[in-house]
Amino acid sequence: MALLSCQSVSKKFGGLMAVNRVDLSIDEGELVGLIGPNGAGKTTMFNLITGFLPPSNGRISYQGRDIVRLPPHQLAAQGLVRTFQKINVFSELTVEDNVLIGAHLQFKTSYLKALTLYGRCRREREKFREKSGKHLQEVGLERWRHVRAKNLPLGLQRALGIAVALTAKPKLLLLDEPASGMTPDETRQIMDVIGRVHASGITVLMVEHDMQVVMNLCRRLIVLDFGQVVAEGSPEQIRHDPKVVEVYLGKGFKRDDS
Amino acid sequence: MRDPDNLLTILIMLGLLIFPALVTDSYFQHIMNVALIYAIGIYGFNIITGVTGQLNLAHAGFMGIGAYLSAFLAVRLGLNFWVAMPLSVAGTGLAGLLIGLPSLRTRGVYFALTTMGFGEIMFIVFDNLIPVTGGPMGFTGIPAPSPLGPITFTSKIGFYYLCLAFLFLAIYASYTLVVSRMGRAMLAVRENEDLARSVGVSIVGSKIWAFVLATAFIGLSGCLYAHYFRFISPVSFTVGESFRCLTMLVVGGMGTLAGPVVGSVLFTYLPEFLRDIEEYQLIVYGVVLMMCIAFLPEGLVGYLKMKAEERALRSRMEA
Repeated sequence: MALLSCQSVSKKFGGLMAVNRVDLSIDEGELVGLIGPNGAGKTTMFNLITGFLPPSNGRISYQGRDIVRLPPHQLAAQGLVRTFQKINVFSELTVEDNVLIGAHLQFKTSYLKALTLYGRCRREREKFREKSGKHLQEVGLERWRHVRAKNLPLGLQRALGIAVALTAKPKLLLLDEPASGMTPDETRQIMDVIGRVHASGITVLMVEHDMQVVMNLCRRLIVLDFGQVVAEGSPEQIRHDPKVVEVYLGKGFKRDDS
Repeated sequence: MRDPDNLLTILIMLGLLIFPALVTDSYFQHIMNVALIYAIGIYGFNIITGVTGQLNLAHAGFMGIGAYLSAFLAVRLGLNFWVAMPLSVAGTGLAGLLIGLPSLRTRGVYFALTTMGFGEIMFIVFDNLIPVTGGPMGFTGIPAPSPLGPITFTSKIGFYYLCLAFLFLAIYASYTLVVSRMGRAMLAVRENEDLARSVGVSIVGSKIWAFVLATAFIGLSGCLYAHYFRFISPVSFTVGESFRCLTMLVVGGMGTLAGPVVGSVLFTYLPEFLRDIEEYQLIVYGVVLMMCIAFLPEGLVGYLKMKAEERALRSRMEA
C-alpha cells in the first residue's frame, strides 16, 4: 500500500487552476523527485499534501487515512514533515535551539512539570541536546551549535532547515528545493545528506530545479506542467520523454543525437 | 556558557531583597513599590509580546480588570484579600481567554489593532459602568491586603516584600516557561509560524496559552495596584498607559529574563527626575523609545546578552 496517495487533487486560486486533477502515489522507502518549470504547481502540491492549503477537490491519504482536513501540526505528529522553499529557520534562536524545537513533539515536560520539577525538565532537555547533536553532525552544523541561525551563511541555513525537519522524526519528508541558491560545493553536501536520510529509512519527496541533483538522487521522477502530471518515470525515461522536452525546451525542438 | 541575563537577574533579585535596608527614604520606597507592581505585569506582557511575539496593546485594560475585580470582591462582597486576589487573577485570565479566542486568529499588526480596540473598550466600560466601578470619580475604600498570620502588609516595607514575593514568582514562571514544551512552542511561534506548524506546534493553542498566562500576571499586577493605592480610577488604565508599559518592556529588553524588571524600575523612577518639566514628560518618553528602537532594538538587557554571546563565540572560534 502506498504511504502517500493523491487522487484527482485540484486547487483553484480564483480562476487559475494551480493544480489540476493530479494523481500521484509514493511507496514507503522511495526517493521521488517532483520537477517542472516555474509555476507548474509543485509548491502548491506540497502545501496541499502538508495541510497548509485545503484542496478544492480530490482525496489525499497518508498511511491509508484521509488527511484532507487535518492541520499541519497534526500531520507533523504523524510523521509528515516538510521544509520550505525560502530559507526557513527560527532566525533569532541558536542552531541548537532550532533543532530542540524540531523535537517539540517528543518533548514531554509540560509547563506544570517544569514549574514544580525543574530538575527533571533540565535532564530531559540535556537528553534532547545530545540527540539533536547527532542531527547537527549529520548536516555538518555541529561546530555552529551556539550561533544564532540568522548569522549562518545561507547554505548552512538551508541545511539547518533540514536538520530541524529531521528532529521532528519524519516518516515522509518533503523537501522544497533543498539545493536552490547553493554553491556547487554546498549542493554536493546537501545531496550527501539527502542520500543518507533516505538510506536511514525515511521516504523522501523533493522538489528541485537543479536537474543534476534530481537525476542523480531520485529513482523516480514526476513532471508537472500547468498543474498537471505530464510524465512519470525513471530519470532515464524522463530525459528522453518528448513531452518533458517540450515542457522545458518548447515545441519544435529536435535533439541532435536522435 | 553562562548566560549574562540569568546572572543579572539573580543580582537584581539579591539587590531587591536588601533594598529597604539600603534606602531609608520613605518616598523612594514608595516609588520602588510601584515599580515592582508594574514589573509583575510587565512579565506578563513579556510572555505574550516578548516570548510569543504578539503585540498586546490591551495591557492597561487587563490591569484594570484585575484591579476593579479585586476591589469589587473585597469591598462590595467583603472578601478577604487572599480570596479576592486569586479570584481576580483567574478572572483576568478568563477575560484573556475570551478576548484571545477571536483576536489571536489575526496576525501581526492586526492583532495589535484588535487588542488596542479592546483596551479602549475596557477603558470606556471602567469609565461608564458607574454602579460597579464608580466611573470617573474612581473606586475608593479598597482595603490593604489582609495580614497573613503575624505578617502584615499595611506598611510600605510590608507591602514591598509582598510584591517582591510575587515578582520572584513571575521571574521563576518566566524562567521555567522557556525550557518547557509550551514555552518552546511560543518561541517557535514568534520566530516563524509556518516552520513551527510544520514541526508539530499548534499556533492557536500556543498563542492562547501565552495570552491566558500573560493576562493572569497582568491581572495580579492590577490587583496589587488596587490594594496598594487603595483607590483606582479609569485614567490609570488607558491605552496610553499600555504604551508606557510597552516602553518599559522594549527598553528593558523583550524576551529577556531581567528586561521587564529593569525597564519598569527605570521608567517608574524616570518621571520622578522629570518632575520639573512635567508637561513635557511624554516627549521624553517618546524620545527614549525612539532612541531605543533605533540604537538598542534588543533593549538594555538584550544588548548585554548579545555582546556576551559575541564574546563567547569569538573565543570559541579562536580556540
